[in-house]
Amino acid sequence: MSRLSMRNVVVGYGVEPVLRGISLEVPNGSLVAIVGPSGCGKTTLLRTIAGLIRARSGEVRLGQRMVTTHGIHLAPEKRRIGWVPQDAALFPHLTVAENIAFGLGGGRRAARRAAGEERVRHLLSLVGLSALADRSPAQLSGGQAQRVALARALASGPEVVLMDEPFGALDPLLRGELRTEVRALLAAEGMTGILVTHDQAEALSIADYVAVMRDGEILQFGTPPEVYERPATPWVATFVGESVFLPGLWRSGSVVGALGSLDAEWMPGDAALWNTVTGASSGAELAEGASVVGALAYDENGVRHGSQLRSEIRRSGETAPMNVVSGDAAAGVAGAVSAGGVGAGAVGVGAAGTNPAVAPTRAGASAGPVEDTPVTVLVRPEQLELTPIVESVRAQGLRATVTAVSYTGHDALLELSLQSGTSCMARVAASGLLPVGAEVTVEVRGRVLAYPRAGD
Amino acid sequence: MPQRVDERVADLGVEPIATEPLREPVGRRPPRMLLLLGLVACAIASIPLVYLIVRVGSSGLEDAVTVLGRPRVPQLLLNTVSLAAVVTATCVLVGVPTAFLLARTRLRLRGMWTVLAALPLAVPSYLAAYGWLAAVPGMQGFWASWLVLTLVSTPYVTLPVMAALRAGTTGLDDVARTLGRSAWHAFWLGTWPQIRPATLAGALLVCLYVLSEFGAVALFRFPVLTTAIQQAYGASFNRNYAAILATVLVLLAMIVVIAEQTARGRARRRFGAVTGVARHRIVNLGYWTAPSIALLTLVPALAVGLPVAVLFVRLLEAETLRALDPVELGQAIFNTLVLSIGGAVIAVLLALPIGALAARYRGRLVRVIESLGYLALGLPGIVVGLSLVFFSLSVLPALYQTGFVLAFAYGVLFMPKAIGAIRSATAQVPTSLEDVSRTLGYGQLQTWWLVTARLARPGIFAGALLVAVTAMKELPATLLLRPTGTDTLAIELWSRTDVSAYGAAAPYAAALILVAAVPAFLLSGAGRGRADGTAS
Repeated sequence: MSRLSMRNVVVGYGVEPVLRGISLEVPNGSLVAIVGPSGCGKTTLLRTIAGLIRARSGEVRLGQRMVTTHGIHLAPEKRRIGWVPQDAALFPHLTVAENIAFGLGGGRRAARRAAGEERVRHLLSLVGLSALADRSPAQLSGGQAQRVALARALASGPEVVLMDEPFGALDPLLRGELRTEVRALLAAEGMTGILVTHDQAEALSIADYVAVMRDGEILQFGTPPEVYERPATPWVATFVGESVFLPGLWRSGSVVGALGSLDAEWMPGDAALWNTVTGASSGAELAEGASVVGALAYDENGVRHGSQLRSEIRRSGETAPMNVVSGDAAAGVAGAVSAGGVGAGAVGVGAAGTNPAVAPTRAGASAGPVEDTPVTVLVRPEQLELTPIVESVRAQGLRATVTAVSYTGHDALLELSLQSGTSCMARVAASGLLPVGAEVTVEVRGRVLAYPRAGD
Repeated sequence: MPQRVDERVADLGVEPIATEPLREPVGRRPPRMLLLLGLVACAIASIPLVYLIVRVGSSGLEDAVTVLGRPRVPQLLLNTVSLAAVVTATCVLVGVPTAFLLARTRLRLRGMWTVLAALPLAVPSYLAAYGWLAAVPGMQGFWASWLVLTLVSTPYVTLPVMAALRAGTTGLDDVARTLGRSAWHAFWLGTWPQIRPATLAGALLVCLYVLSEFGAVALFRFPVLTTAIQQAYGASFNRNYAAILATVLVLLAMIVVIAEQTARGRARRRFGAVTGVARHRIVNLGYWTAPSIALLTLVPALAVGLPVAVLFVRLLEAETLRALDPVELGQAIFNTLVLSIGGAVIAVLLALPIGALAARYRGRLVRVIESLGYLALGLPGIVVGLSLVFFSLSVLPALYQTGFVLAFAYGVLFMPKAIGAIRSATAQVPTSLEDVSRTLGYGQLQTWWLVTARLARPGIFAGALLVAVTAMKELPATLLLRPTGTDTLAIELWSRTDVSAYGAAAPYAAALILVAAVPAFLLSGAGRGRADGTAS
């Protein structure tokens, strides 16, 4: 069951809306991180869910309640949500306890009422600030203020807690600590959380699901490993982590390029649906009737049908493809799933055709392009395994030279120049640090991803 | 200390130039109720202007042509405009160098000099004029008016230009110097463009004050539009004449207001993007120290020092003390307080929706409402007084000659000050606090009351005090609208200067300064209370 569901939400006016048709399903009790560069609309998305901004069109549902739909806008004070803003925004004229009690009706008076007092005391101990109940917000450190803001948001027992870059103003050490705390707190209270951040590492480490946004659209929604290991587009790949892109040629199931012949998976890129099975049918099995969510859906003419579709599996075969029919019956968009089955519950969906009859053909295409198609190959730096060349042992495989080292403490990023002149990056444990100029052999671990060459 | 002065600049209606209120980027539309309240406030506030136009319109065009055709009218216009022009020019010539000395030179006791430069604002022009007359009994005419009005209105130029100089940089000057220009040329290329908008805005403000000036010019017997309006009204046989002259005056003032608003808007557009720390060189005065100190001393000494000194000499004369009726003085103080506080309450009530809208929302309608709210800047006191006399006589006779109409006049006249104060106080409350309150289950109105108004309270209170202080010193509207037998300090002072009873006026002048000083003291106290943020 989804705790929060958004369908085709558009916010903003003019030719360039801030949110261009956002659809999102947040399962009950999960923590979702919305991540993207500044200005991508992630805060607007959060404010829309809270009701602090009116959507131009689309639907927002909180549990069973429709809070935003055509012509209806439930006021934020009636949505029963918790809101943690970036700057903590504690009421400066109230004490810590009074701040927490504010949401229990009547600020100062509620703090004195027995039930309110009990709840406030409980929350204060949850966030570890029992000793500071009578402090004024001006006397709190940044981390303490943010904890109070969180306790205040939790006080009235909301079903969904919305957090707008809550750790943004804190120093890195405190940030990591608070992150873990927040996660534990939400889990303990059984609440669903949505967290906006521009820090991809934070998103990957804290969340059950990550939604990557850019220019008012969700490019990918999935678990952290899905997003990191199978990014929907090269842009997503770069945004969530260091990436090496190399040119290559597709050879049925592998690519040939500067790093030799590598096991590869075809990622149709933009013209694809990247699905995460939510709700009942988690796991790799896709039974008929299971509902899936796609991040992007284009028809064969390149016209986009919403950035996410809620769909259900109509027909399930032993092998790919399966038919996916959009929940939007009017559009009747259908597509085919190639059951890649990589990662928990992740499947790739080929370009959706408006005509179901076309689906199988298009699905065939999703298995990979024709032979020798030029592709862009994504390799994560940690996939490269380097072996120093020792004089006495005859070196086997690809040779490369270390041209630059960027040391980060726990590990290091090495820039390499391959014999062919191509440069790439490798992540190595800092203990085995190689100096600039060192000769190494390069080996690639695991499967790489092949994307359509830009401009094709 | 600099902040206090900047706040005072804001009080003048000249906002510190680089500040743009925080507004929400998308999706926040003003609540209909607030828009409605804002429109109602604007409608109420524009009663004097609208009624004046209706009155003049109904008297017919021919009448107006006859009145304007009188030979006296061109002379009045010429007097008014030339006085405004010459005073404005002098204020710029004195104010800009003063501002430069205060902002950009190595000056000992800079804080004290800054306070002194702002001090003339505390003295009503008629009080300064009265002091000068008492010292130099023969003073009158154009140059007497010029001297006193220049002295009391120079701060209107000095303060905004000083703020602009403090916010500005000398980076361009430096570049110009390295490219081989002289210091003067570099100033002209680099710094002057940065302070030009502030200078223009300050100059137009001076112009506006001279246009609506009444007390000083009346004392110096220099005939201008305001005094002519008052005379025509007093000689009650032709009130149409007064109404038509008032319309001419309003037209003149409105031209200046529109020019001022345009200049201010341009300044904001130009400097809205200036962020970060201002970096500029501080000049060593060297040989110029003595002349500089002389300039800085001159204006406050002549505008404040001399009149106040004369006043105290007169006050301490035995004759004065014998003639003083303490009951009458006490009654006048009481009346002054009641009427000015009443005016402050009305001004704040009218300004609340407008200031709240202006601080939080944008859009065409919000802009229109805000501009209408500032319209009173172009309404001279004498015009508001005259129009409200007509209005109360013909529309609400029950209210004619009541304190309410006078308090209402104060409210309308000084609403712009209240709007400015409420707007900046509201803008200082972070919208994220309102967001939190909304998500915690409080509606728009409750949130406003529990959070916004609660936190903006010191600022709103300061705005009310500012209106009250200004209303205490108001003269022309008070002369026309006061209930018979109700004398305020300003009226008592005025009636005594009228009959050249300089000694007898002294206690009232002293009381006026003292009573106005109490709120000024409270204003600085309120500022401190807000700063530490822990008061509850």
